[in-house]
Amino acid sequence: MKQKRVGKFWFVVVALILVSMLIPACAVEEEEEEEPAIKNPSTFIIADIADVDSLDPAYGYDTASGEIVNAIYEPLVWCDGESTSDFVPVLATEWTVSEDGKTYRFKIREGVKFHNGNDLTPEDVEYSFERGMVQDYSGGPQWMFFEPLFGPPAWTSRTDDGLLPLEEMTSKVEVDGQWVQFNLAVAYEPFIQILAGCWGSIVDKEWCIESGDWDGTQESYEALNDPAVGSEPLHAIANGTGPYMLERWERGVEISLVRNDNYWGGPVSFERVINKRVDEWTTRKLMLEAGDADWVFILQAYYGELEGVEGIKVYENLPNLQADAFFFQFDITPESAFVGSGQLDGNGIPLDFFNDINVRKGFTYAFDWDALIEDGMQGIGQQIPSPIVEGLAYYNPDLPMYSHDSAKAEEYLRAAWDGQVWENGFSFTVAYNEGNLRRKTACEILQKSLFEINPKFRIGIQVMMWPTILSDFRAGLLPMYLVGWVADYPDAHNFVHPFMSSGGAWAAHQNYDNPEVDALIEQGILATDPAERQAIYDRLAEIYYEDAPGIMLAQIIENRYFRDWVQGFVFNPMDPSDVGHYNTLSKGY
Amino acid sequence: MEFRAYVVRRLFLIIPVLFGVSLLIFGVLQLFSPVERASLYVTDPRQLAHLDHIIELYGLDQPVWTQYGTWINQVIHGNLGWSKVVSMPVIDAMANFLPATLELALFAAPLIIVGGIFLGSKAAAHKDKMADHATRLAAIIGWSLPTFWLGLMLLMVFYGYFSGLLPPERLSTQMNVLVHSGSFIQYTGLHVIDAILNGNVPVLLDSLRHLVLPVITLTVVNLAFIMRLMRSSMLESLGKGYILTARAKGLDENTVVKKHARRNAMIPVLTVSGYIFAAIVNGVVITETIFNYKGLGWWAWQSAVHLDIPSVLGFALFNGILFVLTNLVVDLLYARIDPRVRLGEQAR
Repeated sequence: MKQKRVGKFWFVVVALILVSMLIPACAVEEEEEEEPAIKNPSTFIIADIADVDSLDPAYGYDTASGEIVNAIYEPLVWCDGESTSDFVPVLATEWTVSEDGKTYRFKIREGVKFHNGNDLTPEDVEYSFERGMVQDYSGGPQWMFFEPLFGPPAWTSRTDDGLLPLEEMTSKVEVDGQWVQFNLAVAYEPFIQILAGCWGSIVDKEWCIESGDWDGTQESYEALNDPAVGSEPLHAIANGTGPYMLERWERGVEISLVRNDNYWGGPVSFERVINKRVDEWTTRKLMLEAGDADWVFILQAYYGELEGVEGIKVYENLPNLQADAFFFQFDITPESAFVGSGQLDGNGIPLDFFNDINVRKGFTYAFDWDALIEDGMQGIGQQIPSPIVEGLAYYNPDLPMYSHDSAKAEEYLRAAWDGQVWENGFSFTVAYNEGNLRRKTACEILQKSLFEINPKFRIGIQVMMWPTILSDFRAGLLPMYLVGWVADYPDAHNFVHPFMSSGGAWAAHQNYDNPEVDALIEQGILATDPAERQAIYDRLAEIYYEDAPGIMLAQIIENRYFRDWVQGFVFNPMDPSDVGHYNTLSKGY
Repeated sequence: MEFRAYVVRRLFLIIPVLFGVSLLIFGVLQLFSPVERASLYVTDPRQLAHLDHIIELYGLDQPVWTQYGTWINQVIHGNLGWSKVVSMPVIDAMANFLPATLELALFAAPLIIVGGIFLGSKAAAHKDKMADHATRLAAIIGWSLPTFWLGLMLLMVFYGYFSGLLPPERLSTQMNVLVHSGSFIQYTGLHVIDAILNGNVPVLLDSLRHLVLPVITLTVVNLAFIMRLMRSSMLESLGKGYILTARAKGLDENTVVKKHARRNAMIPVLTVSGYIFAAIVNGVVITETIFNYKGLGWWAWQSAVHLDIPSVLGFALFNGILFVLTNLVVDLLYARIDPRVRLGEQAR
């Protein structure tokens, strides 16, 4: 008796499923006779691999958050088309920079309303930047404002003597009528680039305070400084001036935005933008092919799979402000498990192995960039002479650059460690982080070419999860590691610092310490004359060539794949979003 | 009365289980260095400079007992911490991702269990005949198929080749917008049930359509286990004396197999079925990821990969509760199937 009922239930379920399968089949048949139909014509659907970290523009530092923040909020200025050096007005209508480069003044656009109906005022602008510095989430983007406003080496509100005084912070941004003035401590050329980032978005002061954010007082400053992750008041709510409004954030699944019909910049094309998180590549690919997604995230290794697929449009050879490098550890920690015997007996390396310039140069000459670009980067990529990648201010392609040269590599390696390296050989392990075919290939190329130069040269390759590589490189355990950097803002300073400065994000833990480099980096950012800055960055690039503290690999060049009905994509390397700003996009043929 | 006392006593068991589980997981997590555990908050080299501050902020360099004490104190106050991988409190994450998984389990588990029992007993009843060989072959094939391969193949065929026939995700874009609009009330988060409660046929059909492939994947891969177990257990009971007696007294074969043999052969199968159901509710990582059917499995996997400690611990607690409850239900079912098992007597 019971079993029969179960049978009936399943019969009904199966019948329903069969019926449900017929529905799309019918729909497709009807449409086939007309023009190729555009799926979801008024909705733009993205299938990405990352979810938003926070909707708070002062807090989010990842590109996924930046993409959404840029649709909801707006900064004072933004890049002009594809340029990273020319800017167009957004919430500022005009601006001036003083002769000494220390005073920036912006006239604030009138007649702009936030999504909740409040008017945009210069006070909102002042509040936005002060609130950001007050919050100064560790792991957030606010450090970028401290350096120009307080002068290097300031980079955080949390100093050894406690929090920076509030008055000092608020004195950096002042309202003057319809204008807002920034008082920099030093001349800082990339300041306007920083303002154009999503961290420069303008929030509604009144609404923020109502939502529990900073109310201007010292107590509130202390309470809100460096919030625990997720506890920032604007974490999951949003109210900007931008073309899209937050509809729903289904964490881990998707975020849905709807059109702001009162947008000051005029109406935008899509009624709704849905940004989904889809982890599996094949699923994303099938969604793009089926037209259920208009753009999908793709790793370089899979470009070939979309070549010649019908209904897909590709934008090719887009230079990304991103570069990878091998870093040599100058002073390996004795506990390291990656140095073999710890001696030059053929089964290990000494802890100061890379202190010998001949070793570093030999390794660099042994590397084969063409093989990397061909085998690890689908044929698209570009070797760069120094950490300053193409697309940054002060990039100079004419500087000396290494090339793959086994003879020279042999010459240097024969000279290294008074010939002991050549005679005894070495063995150690190089590390890269998981999920990156390009980096794996680079390690294998180095391994192979060193072995070909002398079979006694043996390096092992260790793939590591991010937590492990992070922990081990900081502890100085890794003799050599392969990591990368993505631009915050398109200035040479943002690359020479992490790659070369003794206080830089990567270089600090490599124990590479060249006082001339540190001095030049500081001079470079403080200089106001472009010619002077160019000379400084060229000199830094030359030092990178002479010192070879690491091996710069290739700049990453990308393709972007859209459905062919998507129009209006503008590539800008500074855009955190791979599809550009949503308001430039539309669907049609 | 005894029954209730038994259930209550068993439920109290949850407390030591959870304590043990959390202690174990916490201990294992301490094998990671403070920097490794802080890496969740420093996902980008640009944040490196803050690492020491972050370690201090979250007390990651404190002694294990201090850290455990802080955590347990929060848990007692109902705060399981923040799940960084999905940007919400751990407790909300569980509440958010459970319905999707539960929906999968509610469709897949009966198919696996009932189907397995049915096919297994058929195979045993026709031992060494065609039906037996056929099910064995099917079982071996299903059991050997890697989930990711089967899932991707199904998706490529039924979503790629038959363009859009059986799509991934839980709902299509339009239906998802509708489900989250004011006119649709989400009672349970299980779309099929919510659609029935709302009387919304399009949503019902759409959600069923999205369930087909993940449910088939789960069923094919897991069916074999129950089927083979049922077969051997059934063969054993078919060889028992009471079957001979039943046959000798002239009962028809159908009754002998279904009433006498199968009922007795169910006990081990029931135990395993409980675990299979729990395992699916617990999350099916690969199936959920391939079909972008975001559930607990997907969330737990993301948490583990990113070393999201509050999430991992929260999930471990959930698991503890789930398995204690499943065990309890299975024990209660034993009593229902086998009259020899009586709960009250055990208690005494």
